[in-house]
Amino acid sequence: MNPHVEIESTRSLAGALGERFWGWEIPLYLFLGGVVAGLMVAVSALLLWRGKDRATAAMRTGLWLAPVLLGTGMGALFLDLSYKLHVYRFYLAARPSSPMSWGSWILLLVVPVQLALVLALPPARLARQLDRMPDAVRRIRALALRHFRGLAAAGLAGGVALGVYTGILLSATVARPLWSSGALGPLFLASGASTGVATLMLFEKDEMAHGTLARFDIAAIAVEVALLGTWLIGLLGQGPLYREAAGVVLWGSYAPLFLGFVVFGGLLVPVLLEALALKGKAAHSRVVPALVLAGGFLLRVVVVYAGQVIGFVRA
Amino acid sequence: MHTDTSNRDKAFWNPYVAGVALGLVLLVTYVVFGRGLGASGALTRFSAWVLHGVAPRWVESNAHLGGYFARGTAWWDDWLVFELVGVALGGLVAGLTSGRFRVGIDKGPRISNRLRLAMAFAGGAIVGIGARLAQGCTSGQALSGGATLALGSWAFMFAVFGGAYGVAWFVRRLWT
Repeated sequence: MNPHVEIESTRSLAGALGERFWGWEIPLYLFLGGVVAGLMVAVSALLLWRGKDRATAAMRTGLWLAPVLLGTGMGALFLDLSYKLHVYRFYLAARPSSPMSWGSWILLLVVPVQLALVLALPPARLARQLDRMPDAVRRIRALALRHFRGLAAAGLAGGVALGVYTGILLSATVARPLWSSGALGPLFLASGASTGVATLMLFEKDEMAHGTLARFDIAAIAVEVALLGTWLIGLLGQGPLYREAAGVVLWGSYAPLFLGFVVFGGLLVPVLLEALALKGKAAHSRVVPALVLAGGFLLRVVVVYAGQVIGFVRA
Repeated sequence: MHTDTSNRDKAFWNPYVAGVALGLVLLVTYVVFGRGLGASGALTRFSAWVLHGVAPRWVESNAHLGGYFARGTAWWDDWLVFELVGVALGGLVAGLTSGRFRVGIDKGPRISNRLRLAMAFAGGAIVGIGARLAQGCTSGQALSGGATLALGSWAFMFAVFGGAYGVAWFVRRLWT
């Protein structure tokens, strides 16, 4: 253990021994961070486009789900820290060159925006209790309603920043050949957008909004498939070590999980069913967005786990 | 846009055409994957995984299940597991595109949902035990083994039909 390191993963030592150093906590954190980013982008964009008077119940649900899911994801990240009491040290410095520092501050700054949006457009149960809340809460709500478009724009910007950050976190570590690709950032952003929209589709009952979300999801999945190709083809052409790393997900031990569950079950089948449903040739079902969510989570599991199989230095 | 397709359910396939199509699927799995169709093997692995969460040492030392958890192996890393997930996805696509996808319990008119589920559980347990004793279920033994003209598989198939005819009379009230 390095005495000068104050913040590190619980499995740093395992990494030195050539074992898997990140467990389930990191994929879960990256997945939930992506979902929250997607939720923020999709709901904020819809609010800016359609106006807050046409906010659906699903959009209100998405707004309060965002801080809950983000808190859960940050809880998973906290479990991964070796020195849990040192977590406050993330906020004693701001390093422009460190994605982790950027991420810490983004995570901290998006929460007030999320909470202000929830107060502006509360779910029905919370709306009934607003009168009984302290005066300060009602004043914040009035302020949020007065500057609603600016708040929605901040939500959109915060969602994009969060999505980009979860995406570049792995590539910025420059620790493993599989993660050494600039395509990983936009890939996770696209996947986050898709899973965020899928979360909204689970709750959306408004037909018009559902159709809009389905179209948005199809576009996000199309971009995601293109970026998956860019990422893997790029690695295959970089040299033997990168080719070996890409091989872990293309024909190695993680290939069945990646090709079967992520690409086929989590992307191609749902996008086919969404496209058929838009044409009226298939019924809508909540199972379809659930497949997108499962595929999004497994994508993080595969990328994080498979990335740890091949290192730059042989153990 | 929501489209209610439930009022225009498509007709079922002709059973003979469906049978030939299933045979061709079986042929493709042998050619592409080198293995036939199956189902209970995947469920055995899934059950072993659940059991492993409760009693890992017992499962690892068990002669039948221990191999799934040997060092360097993953319980889910088997063709049947992926095939079964693919079957569920294919069923979803077929159900949604034909307008038949809905949550429900198929049962006879005279029994309650609770009794139906209890009988399904009991029947499933008996099938599970039988499938492990026979080293395959109606998919692995009858369909895949039968296609290769394995004698044991044909004996299994006749025993399945014989057993079903013999027991159907006693449980007919569940369906009529």
